[in-house]
Amino acid sequence: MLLVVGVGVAALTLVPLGYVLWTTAELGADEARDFLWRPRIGELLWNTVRLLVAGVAASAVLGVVGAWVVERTDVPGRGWWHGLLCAPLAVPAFVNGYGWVSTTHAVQSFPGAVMVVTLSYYPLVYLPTVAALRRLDPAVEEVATSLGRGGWSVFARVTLPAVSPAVLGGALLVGLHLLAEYGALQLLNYPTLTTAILQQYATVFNGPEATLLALVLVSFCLLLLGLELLLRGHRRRSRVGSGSSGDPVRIRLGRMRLPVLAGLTGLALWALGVPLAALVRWLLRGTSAAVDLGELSGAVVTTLGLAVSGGVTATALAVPVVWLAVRNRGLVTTAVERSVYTASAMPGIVIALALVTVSIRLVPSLYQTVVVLLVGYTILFLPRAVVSVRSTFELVPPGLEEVARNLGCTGPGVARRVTLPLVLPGLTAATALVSLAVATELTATLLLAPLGTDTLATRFWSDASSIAYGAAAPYGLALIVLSIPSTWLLGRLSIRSAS
Amino acid sequence: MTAALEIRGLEAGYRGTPVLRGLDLVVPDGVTAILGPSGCGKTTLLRAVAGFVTPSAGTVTVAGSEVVGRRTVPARLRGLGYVPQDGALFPHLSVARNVRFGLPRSVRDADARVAEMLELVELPATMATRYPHELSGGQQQRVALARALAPRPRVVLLDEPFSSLDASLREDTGRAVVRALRAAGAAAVLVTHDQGEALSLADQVAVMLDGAFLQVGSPGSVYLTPSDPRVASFLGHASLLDGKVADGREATCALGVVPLQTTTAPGVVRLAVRAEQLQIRSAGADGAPAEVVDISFYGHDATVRVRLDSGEELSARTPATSVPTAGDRVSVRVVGDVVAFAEGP
Repeated sequence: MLLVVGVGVAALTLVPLGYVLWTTAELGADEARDFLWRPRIGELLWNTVRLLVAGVAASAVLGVVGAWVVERTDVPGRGWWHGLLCAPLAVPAFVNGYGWVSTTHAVQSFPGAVMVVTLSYYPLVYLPTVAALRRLDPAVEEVATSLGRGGWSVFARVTLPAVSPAVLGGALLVGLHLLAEYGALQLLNYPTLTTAILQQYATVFNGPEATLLALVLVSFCLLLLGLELLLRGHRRRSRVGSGSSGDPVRIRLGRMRLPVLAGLTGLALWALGVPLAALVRWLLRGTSAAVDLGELSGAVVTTLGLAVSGGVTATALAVPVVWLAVRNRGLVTTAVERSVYTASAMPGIVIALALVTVSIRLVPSLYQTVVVLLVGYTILFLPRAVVSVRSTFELVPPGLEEVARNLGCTGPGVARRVTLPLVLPGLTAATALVSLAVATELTATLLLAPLGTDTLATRFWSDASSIAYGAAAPYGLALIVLSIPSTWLLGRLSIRSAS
Repeated sequence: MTAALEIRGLEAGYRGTPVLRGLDLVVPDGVTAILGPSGCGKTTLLRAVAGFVTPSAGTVTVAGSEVVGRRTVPARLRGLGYVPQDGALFPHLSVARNVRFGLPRSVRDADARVAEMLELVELPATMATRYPHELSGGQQQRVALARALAPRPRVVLLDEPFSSLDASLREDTGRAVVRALRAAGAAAVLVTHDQGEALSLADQVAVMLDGAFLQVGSPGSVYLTPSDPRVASFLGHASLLDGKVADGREATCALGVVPLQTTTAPGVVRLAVRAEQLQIRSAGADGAPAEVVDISFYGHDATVRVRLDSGEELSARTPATSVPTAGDRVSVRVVGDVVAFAEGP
């Protein structure tokens, strides 16, 4: 029974990949080559690749430096800086793009695009790096110091290699987000594969061109995934001994204190100050046009409804997948779990395209309904749900279940009386995380939401993209408010001590 | 000859609570063990010497040059070897690259030094290409020591280096480490809570409690002539008894009249009777009547807890061949001289 559900979930998550491969095959090689072999495609590829390389590199540098300053120096107010460095996660990238573009048009360029996406996504490197630095046994760094190494040498030769898997994982996430980013880049007028797919879709609905671009995009994502595996594979990062993670020795900044504080302040102003100031400015200016409270509250209700149902669906489907993978380890169950993870490399746009096509061809009655939208959210955010559900399941030792069985419980009885009560807090957290992600999702919602279903993100988008900056401001603010809880949660999780 | 390490009036604390209260210690050469229960401040002392904790007062001198005092020398320039609890080998570097980590680039025959160090810690040269996760716990500790010794420090600091090893490995590794230290001519400070380890490996033992040294001396002197009842009960599992001294050479207590190790002023005293000084004999024999409470059997010997009819509980160590059972009636006798501590006024 559990296995059937698990295999069903896995099949669902493989729909987007299957769709891309199948329609491409249907198209035929000649037609595909004719379409792809054009200067326009070359330009899109070049734009995408250079944004990917520069954005990932800048995010990695910013994230690692920020984490090192917060975790390894005596910078005053470390707790506050940690909060401020996580905070950009609460500003959806397209809201950040709006903030910048409505402030200055100078950002509608390659450097501008790199800057905006870096400011939005560097926390994806920062958070895991902070967590890894926390877990790192300080004794390793102390030994290097006692062997005569200075601060920089210790960092480069000992600390960085030790936290590199975390940095690499964060960089992969940034890369996948950059490939999938639509809203911010569209506002910044920087065409990439993803924005081109949506343009194709808007002009000729669901032509073969969109599919071919999706194929290229998916190949990029899989390439990135493979690259990360390759880089990670050779690293020996197993921790030796149990180690007691005491307090690390912090480097005294001394004369560098002021420049470091100035740098952190500048980063906070750039990443948070500019978009927030723009929102407030447009909000105040927009009062002349009067915020339509009815429309705003309507969008809030729709968004919350979708968010909660999306969160519950994804978490509920994650439970059987995790249960199988953790408790009944085997070839099939591992395959089920892995197939879910491949969905994390699928950009929202590809998932949406796949669901549009599949629903029109196979179940026309479902096309343009909330069901398809929820399926889209589920595929999109299932990897996230599985990761957090899994981490809570691993906290329940199998010994407890064996004891319950020994005391006469049946299989379902064990689940109901022992396992589920123990994992319930974790499941709630997983639901909340997915719900909040759903609430600020833009790309897939634009394609899949039934006509007349307006979420905060789509309302914000329709106003912001038609340069109605004042009208968009209240929706932008609402999106930020919705994102604050999950950002806070992630920030807390990253600094919770490893013990 | 200057002492390898000299500590004078060292004080340190965390957020206002003092952890080290004015410590004095001279490490001439050889191995000095800092012995104390967990939380007594011994690890803080080691980290203060290494430069990872900033002391609030006092001086530390390494081989004649001051590293804490008028000016503070940064940890990386102190020239001290450091071996933390789990060895803390760099997991991304091979054994050879771990060992040569602290060698300056100018050292020309680094490979030869690595080989020499591995030989010193009694590891085969073939191990040089292995990675830390491929080594056993004892091997990791030896590599950690080789790494600390490679730059030829005058003093090596070891923080509970054997506590994560199995009992069987612990003794062998401890012996090998001390041999390597002697061969390298480095003095060592070994922090431990294991009294067997401290007594068997060290040339000098400093017993520490609540941030202060109770006694510093050779293993024999701290064990046989403790200067404080707390040292006696911590080191020898000694039982403490109230007694009375009349003529200075003998004391009267629940075990009868016992000879004293040193002449003591008449008055009320605390007597420390070590477990192996108590002899358990069959009931009716010469000695104080008692009942056996419980027994811990170790194989080579056993610890027997008895309650004297007068109420005191004592621990005695008996050979494995003559172990009574719980509830037996026995009589208890003291063998040898007993240490007496004058009761405070």
